[in-house]
Amino acid sequence: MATPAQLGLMDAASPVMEEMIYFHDHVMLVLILITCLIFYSMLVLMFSKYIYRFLTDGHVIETVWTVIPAIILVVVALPSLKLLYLTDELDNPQLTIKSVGHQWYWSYEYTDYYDIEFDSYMLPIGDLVGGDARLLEVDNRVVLPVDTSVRVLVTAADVIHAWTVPALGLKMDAVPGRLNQLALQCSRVGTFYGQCSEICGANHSFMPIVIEAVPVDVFESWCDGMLDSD
Amino acid sequence: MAHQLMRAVPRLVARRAFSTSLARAGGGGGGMPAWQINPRNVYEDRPDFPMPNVPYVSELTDAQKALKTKEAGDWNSLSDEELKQLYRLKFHKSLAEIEAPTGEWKTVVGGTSLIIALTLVLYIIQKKYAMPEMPSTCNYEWQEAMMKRQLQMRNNPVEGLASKWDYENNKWK
Repeated sequence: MATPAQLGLMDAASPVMEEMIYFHDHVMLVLILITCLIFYSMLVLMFSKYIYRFLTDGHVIETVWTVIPAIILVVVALPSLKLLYLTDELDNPQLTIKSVGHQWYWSYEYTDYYDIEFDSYMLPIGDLVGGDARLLEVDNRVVLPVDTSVRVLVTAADVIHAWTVPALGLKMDAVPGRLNQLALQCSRVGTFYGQCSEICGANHSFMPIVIEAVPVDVFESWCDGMLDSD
Repeated sequence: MAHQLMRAVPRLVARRAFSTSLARAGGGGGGMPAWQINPRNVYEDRPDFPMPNVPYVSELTDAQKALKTKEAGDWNSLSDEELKQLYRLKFHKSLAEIEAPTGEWKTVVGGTSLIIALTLVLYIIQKKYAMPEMPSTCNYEWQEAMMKRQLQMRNNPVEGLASKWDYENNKWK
């Protein structure tokens, strides 16, 4: 999750998010260069004592300041498109889970091997214990094995929601009547938080997502526990 | 609304609120330059057009007319005071006066600061008397517990929070 007053992106927990951070750094550099150039030009022009009395048209400079931004856009667009298609790639997923958005909670289904289904409601502030994150903790977390390619099928039961986990670089609209596919792979063990990202009613801000990435044996124990509790 | 705009535009043009300068086609004829910034011959103090086509004072009094007649003769006969008067008939402000700082920035900064100060006062009043209490998770003890929890779960271990904690010696790096 984010730390207080955090401005930048969270550390990546998946390979795709790592690539997104690199792309973000690349584009940020381009933007900073452009901004510095413009500020410098503005300062020079503001404090210049000269006035160009016969300024009408400048064909050469207009060509230059059209071509150079076009080149800059190509420099930005090429890695952007590569990343866009990378996010769609699915590498032989070993597990498929379904995430269904409701007003105002998420429900998850692990139906590959067994039939595990549960709802995930936000913990109200009265149920939090010391150190819990307000508006982020849930009663039942999504437990997934680490270093495993997972397919998440996202849909909704009523209105459009969006399933988001920023640390994994994931965001997908949950549209009723439609299944959207996400490729998920946690590179490290940990707990990753997200919040619904499509306005869905009064409690849109109060239906978070929590993914707990655990070693495979812990995941298997969790599955056994869930089946026993059923 | 549209017909009000239609009436306002000619009024603004007549008051020279904005320039409607046109480029003249072809080379200059009659001794006039090919392109003029203000072909409608209105006096304007502009540093990029230092010699307007028309003088500042066009309707002269009798004394001024007499001075103009004297100007037609030998300039050495003109006193300093008369030269200055003739200059002021031709021009409203000198270049130094046009480019002199006006101090307007002080009004702008002062006015903006006043508005920001008033906004801050309003904010403080509504924070104290109108806004609800902050939730218990915003107090110091909870924030401390949250940070300990984040360190325990290795939150942002690459460049973020957990990367700055020395787990072996239990202190910040």
